[in-house]
Amino acid sequence: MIRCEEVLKLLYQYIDGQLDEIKHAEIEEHIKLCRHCCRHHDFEIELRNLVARSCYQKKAPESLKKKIDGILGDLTAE
Amino acid sequence: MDNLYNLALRMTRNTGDAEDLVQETYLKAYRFFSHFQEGTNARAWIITILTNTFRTRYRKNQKEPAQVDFEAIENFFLVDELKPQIQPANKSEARDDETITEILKSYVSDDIIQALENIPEQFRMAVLLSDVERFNYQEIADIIGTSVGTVKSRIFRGRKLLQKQLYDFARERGIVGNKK
Repeated sequence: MIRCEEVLKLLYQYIDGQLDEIKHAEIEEHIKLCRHCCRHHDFEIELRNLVARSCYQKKAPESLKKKIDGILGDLTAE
Repeated sequence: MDNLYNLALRMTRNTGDAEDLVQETYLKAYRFFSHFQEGTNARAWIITILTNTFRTRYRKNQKEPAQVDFEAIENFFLVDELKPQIQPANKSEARDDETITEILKSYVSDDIIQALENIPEQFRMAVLLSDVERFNYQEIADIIGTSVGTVKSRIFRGRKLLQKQLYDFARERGIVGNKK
């Protein structure tokens, strides 16, 4: 069975779906059976979601939207 | 546009440059639209323009943090560092999902953004394109013009650097002691 050390080394590639099917299945099984690696896996997923949420909080300023609309409008009219 | 603006904000780290970057990206996308291949990913295409524009225009002005020691972060796991603090020994039976939630609850969005802004641009970019934009390694390699191997390494190191930053915040706030 694949060792914890190797699972943790490949964890990002596993999460990102970048491993071949066999390696992926090996790690998937290990994570189901190993609480330690499962905790690491779940933490990485949650942290990644938190990063994504944190980065999408702002709306583009209305002034910017108007400015770009204006420029593109002028270009289209040319 | 909100999506592009947020990405531009994370790259440039200030609103003025972010607005200029988005504007320039839209203009270039308009001008080069005939080069866009139908059937390919339009979002990847416009983000490639944004990324290239950022790199040629703003990179020179960016003050980057000092170089980092990668060996020291290779085996850094935030969850291992914070777990004992969040979950005292007498509560060792707490469920892992509760522990993880507790750890992440100690960070607000501004902490995450600050941590991202503190890591060098090439790693920040890899994390943004992966964790936020959810592109795969090949797509990221195409966007930033590098190999898949380099993307893999930058994502790995970028995420580790981010966790190290978050750990440092916890230490500054006294959540964890000055051990080691």
